[in-house]
Amino acid sequence: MNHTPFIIASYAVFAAFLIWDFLAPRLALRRLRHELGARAARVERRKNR
Amino acid sequence: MNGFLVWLNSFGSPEKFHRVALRFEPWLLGLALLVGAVGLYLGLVKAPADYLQGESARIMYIHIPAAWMSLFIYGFMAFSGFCALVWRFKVAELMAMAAAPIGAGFTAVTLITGSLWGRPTWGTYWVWDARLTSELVLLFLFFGVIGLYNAIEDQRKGARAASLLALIGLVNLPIIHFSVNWWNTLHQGNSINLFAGKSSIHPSMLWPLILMALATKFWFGASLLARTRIALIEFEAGKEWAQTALFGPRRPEA
Repeated sequence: MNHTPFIIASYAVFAAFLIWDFLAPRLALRRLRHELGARAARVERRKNR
Repeated sequence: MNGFLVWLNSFGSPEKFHRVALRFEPWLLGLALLVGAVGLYLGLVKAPADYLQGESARIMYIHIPAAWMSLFIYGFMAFSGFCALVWRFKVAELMAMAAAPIGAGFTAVTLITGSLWGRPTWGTYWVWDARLTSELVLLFLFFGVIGLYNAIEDQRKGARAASLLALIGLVNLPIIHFSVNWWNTLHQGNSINLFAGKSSIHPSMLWPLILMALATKFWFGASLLARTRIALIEFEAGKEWAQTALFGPRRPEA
C-alpha cells in the first residue's frame, strides 16, 4: 500500500489548522476595529446633525 | 500560595495583560516556527521509516504532539476556569474561553491524523476503541464549553458556566491517558515516558517528536495570548486603553 497520500493528507490537515488558528484572531481584530470605527462615525454624524 | 495569588493578580489588569501579551506573542510565534521547522526536518528527512509500519509512521510527528496538546490545553482550560470560578479573575475567564477553540482544533487534528494513520496500519479509518472514543468525547467536551459560553448572553456568566463544565470534564483526561492500559485496545500502548526515562522509541525518532511537542506548546502560547488579548479589547472596548490598542493614538472621534 502506498502511504504517501495518507502522510500528505495528515500534514495538510495540520497546516490548515495552523493557518486557521493564526488567521482567526487577526480577522476578529479587524472586524472589531471596523465595527467600533463605524459606530464612532455614526455617533459623530448624529452629533453634527 | 499567597505569593502565587499576588503574582496571578498582577495579570488581572486587562491593560497590563495586553501590554505583556503584545510583547511575548511574536517571540512565542517565532520560536514555534523555528523549533517546528527543525522538528519537521528531523522527522521527515533524517529519521528512518518504522521497521513495521514503514513511512506511515511519519504521521506521528504531528499526531502525537497534537494529542498531547489536546490533553494539555484541556487541563489548562480547566485550571483557568477554576481560577475564574474561585477568584473571579476576568483575564482567567477569557483565557479559559480562548483556549477552547485551540484545544478543539488540536483534538480534531489528533482524530483526523490518527484516522489517516490507522487506515494503512490497521486497515480501517475508525474503530470504537477506548482511546479513540475517549478522545472523541474530549472533542465534544471542547464543543460543549464553546457552545455553553456562546449560548449565555451575559459573557461573564457564560464563562463561569463553561468553566464549571470544563472542570467536570477533567475526569476524561485520566481515562484517555490510561485507556490503553485499562482496556484491550487496537491503539498501541504508550511507548514514550519522558519522566521515567523508559521510552521504547529510538532517539532518532524521539528527538523530532520532542521538538514538535515544544513547537506546539510555543504555538499554543502565541495563539492563546493573541485570542485573549483581542477578547479583552472587545470586552473593554469603551475604555481608553482598548481604544488606543485598537486605533492607536489617532482614534476616531466619538
